[in-house]
Amino acid sequence: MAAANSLLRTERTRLWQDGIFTAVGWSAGLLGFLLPISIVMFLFYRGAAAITWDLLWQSPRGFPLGSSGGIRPAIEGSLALVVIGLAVSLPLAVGGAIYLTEYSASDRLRRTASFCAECLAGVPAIIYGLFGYSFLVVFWGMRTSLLAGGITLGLVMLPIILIGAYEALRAVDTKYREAALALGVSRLYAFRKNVWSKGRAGIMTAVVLAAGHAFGSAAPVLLTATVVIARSGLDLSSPVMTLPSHLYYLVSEASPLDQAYATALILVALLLTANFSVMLITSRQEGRSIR
Amino acid sequence: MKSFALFLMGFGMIVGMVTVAAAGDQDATIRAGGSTTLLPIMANCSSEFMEKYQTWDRLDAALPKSTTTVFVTGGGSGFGVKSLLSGVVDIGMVSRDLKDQEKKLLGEHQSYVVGKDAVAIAVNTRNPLAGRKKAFTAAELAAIFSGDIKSYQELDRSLPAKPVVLLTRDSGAGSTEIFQEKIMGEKKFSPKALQLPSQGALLEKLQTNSNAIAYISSGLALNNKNLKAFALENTAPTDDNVTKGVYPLARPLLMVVKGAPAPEVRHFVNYVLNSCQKIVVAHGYVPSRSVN
Amino acid sequence: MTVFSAGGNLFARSSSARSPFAGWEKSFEETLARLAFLVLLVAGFAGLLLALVMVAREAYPALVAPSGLWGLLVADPWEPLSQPARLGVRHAWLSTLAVTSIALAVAAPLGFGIGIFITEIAPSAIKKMLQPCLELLAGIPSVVYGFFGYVTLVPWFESTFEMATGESLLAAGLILAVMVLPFVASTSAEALSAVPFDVKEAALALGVNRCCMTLRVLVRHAAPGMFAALALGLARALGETLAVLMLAGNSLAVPASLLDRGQPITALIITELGEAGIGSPKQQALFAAALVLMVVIVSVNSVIGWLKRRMLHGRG
Repeated sequence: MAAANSLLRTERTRLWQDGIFTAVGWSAGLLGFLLPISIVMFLFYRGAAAITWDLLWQSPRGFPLGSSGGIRPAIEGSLALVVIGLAVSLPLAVGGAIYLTEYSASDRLRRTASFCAECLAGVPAIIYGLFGYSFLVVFWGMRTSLLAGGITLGLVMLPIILIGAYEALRAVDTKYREAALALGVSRLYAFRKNVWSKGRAGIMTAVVLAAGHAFGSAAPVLLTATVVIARSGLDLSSPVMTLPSHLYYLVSEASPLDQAYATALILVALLLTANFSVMLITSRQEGRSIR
Repeated sequence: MKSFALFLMGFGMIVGMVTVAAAGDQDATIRAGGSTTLLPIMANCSSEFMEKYQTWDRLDAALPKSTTTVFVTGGGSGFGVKSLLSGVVDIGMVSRDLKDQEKKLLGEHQSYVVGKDAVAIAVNTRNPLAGRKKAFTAAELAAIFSGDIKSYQELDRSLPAKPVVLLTRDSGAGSTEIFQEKIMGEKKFSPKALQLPSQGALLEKLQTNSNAIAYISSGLALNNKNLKAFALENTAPTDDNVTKGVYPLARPLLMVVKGAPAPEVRHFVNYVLNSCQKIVVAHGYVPSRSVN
Repeated sequence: MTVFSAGGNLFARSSSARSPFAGWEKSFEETLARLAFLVLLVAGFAGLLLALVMVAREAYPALVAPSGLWGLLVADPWEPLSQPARLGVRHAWLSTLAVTSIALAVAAPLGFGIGIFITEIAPSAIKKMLQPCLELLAGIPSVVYGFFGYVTLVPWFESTFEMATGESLLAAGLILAVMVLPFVASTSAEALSAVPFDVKEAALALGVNRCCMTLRVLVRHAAPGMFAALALGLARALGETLAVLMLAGNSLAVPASLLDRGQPITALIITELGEAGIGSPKQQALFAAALVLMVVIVSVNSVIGWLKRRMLHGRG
């Protein structure tokens, strides 16, 4: 009888344990769900009112400068920096990934390269900013410019895209390659026809991830490309304003917060849109290729 | 393959559009950087300049017909000098006198006085000192800002025992350098002092914290009803005293140019000196020339 | 393509004009392509390594200076204006340590909890909703987190703890915890789901309840992966710049408590770099500090890589 009772007690303890466990688990999950949503909602709540057509389309104006007008140069500058960065890093990263998956015979090369790339991806962006500042801005005389900042961001994005593209291409079943190669076509042809269409969704996701990371980064561009006030209109050899650096300057000058909320909201909204559209495009791609 | 070619073309077009760069344009843009005190003045001034003269040849027929472009950034006076030295900016904005070593490193250079500023000691109107004290001596200030005096009661027995919260600008700022040189001397700032990244941030903190004491640009402190500024060695930080040169912590607001300035830079500098004095006054500083 | 196939290719004419089957055409194009991609790979790595080498080169004088690494990290305070200048970053790495410890202390239980929730408790519909949420959290830029902390945590600290300024190591650490949370959560979820099915089933078959099965059996099996999750959080937290710059308070004193202000290494570098003359000892010291940080982060990342490989290949 006592044994049965003790079994019951243990059974109840077990049920209690499970109950608490599930409750704690659910609260953790809830927190994981609520945190990002509440941050975005908070920014939206405080910042949406300040986002007007003027803000997006005009340059800074007013007395003191920036108190009215808009932040158009910042939006242009951010986009331009990412485009230049991609122009630098995309061919190098995707080309390198293609070599590793399609042409490289040595497994050791692949493993070393991916290990190095992962280490380099972990290097904080400010280190590349230091390089950009001392080497590109000062030593090479580029001064703070779109080009210097773009190259720096390219370096930041390069390992991320490389790893992403490598993983995406590697995930394509090797039978597709082998079938084509067995028929006697060149590796490039086999890649183009069989592998690329399957791997490009993954590559695109990696590119957008890297570009988003670069778009939102301030540390490497503060040292290499940005100024507090710039005009609209882009030039490779001129500095730019960017959304993240503008937000930082607003906070460090302790300016009134409306524009800061709006800048933060625009930044997050642009990133969300990019990620969302990539998700849409890649899921549609996947739908098509299954057919 | 077609979609890839299309993508390449599109991407190439975007890159091309972004690459609207002529190597020649390098000369036609002006970069100014440095003091956060000068930043609002130069920002407004350059904006006016760019509005008034849309292209360089309207200013001087000998110049090319490219758009006038002036970029302004902050970073502090120290950053202004260092950037000027390394060639990153064309005009260094400096809110203090140049040090001898800096002058030596710069070699041939020109300094233009845009305006004058007084570094005033200020507190919040709710600060214990606000009603009580009118002036400080340099020695008192050195003791406070080095952290030797930790509570307001140590300064004056009748004051409440509130902690002294020190607000300073970071080490590269013009106001820090002049304060260190003229007041602190050999003493170092207390490591507990809050270092703020700009004059604007200093102002904000001063307005919200009633235990804080700071050295801040008088242009920001004097007309602010939330702040109380003190006299130093019995001289008040007024425009008059600064112009007369009797306030000890007066500092010049300088534009510094290295070597022989390019014609565009010369024209812009002249514009700032001649036409922007009213902007200087509007921001609360002492003009270097009388405002007409 | 057409250039090659037009280039005197008798074989190709017998089949379609763009046939890939022609013998020597294939090997020419093949070699060219292979060479091109190899060049791209090498150029990419060369660029990245160049960057790191340049940083190391600039840092070198500070490391071989009389005070050397010991002075940089332990002995000297940061006093660039005293004569002689003393350029040690001990206040900085202590701040970095404090901030990352707070971040991990908060993010670890939460992240593991979310990881366990994803793999064990959540129905698949909830899982599908949670993944993008975590990605969202990971995608918010550092400067926005810093701003968020500046407008929420800092004023709250100021009013609750009556501090001169709410900017403190604690504020920075808490925001940093939110920033590394998605990484810890998704890596630990990955680790837990990689545990072989039969291990779980065996435990459940023995009558162990879900709670104990997860905590005692699953987690033990997934331990390398969970550790990797922590290490990933650590690596991310160490490298963060803007958020800690805006929240940690920018003070040169060695922090004495969590509510004190500090200046993590990344914040020190970005604040002081502009005022350091090119080639000056101050710049060299900053680069040296950056180099040390980089070495630490890369080592942590290698540990993560090693742990992840162990996780994938199972334990025995």
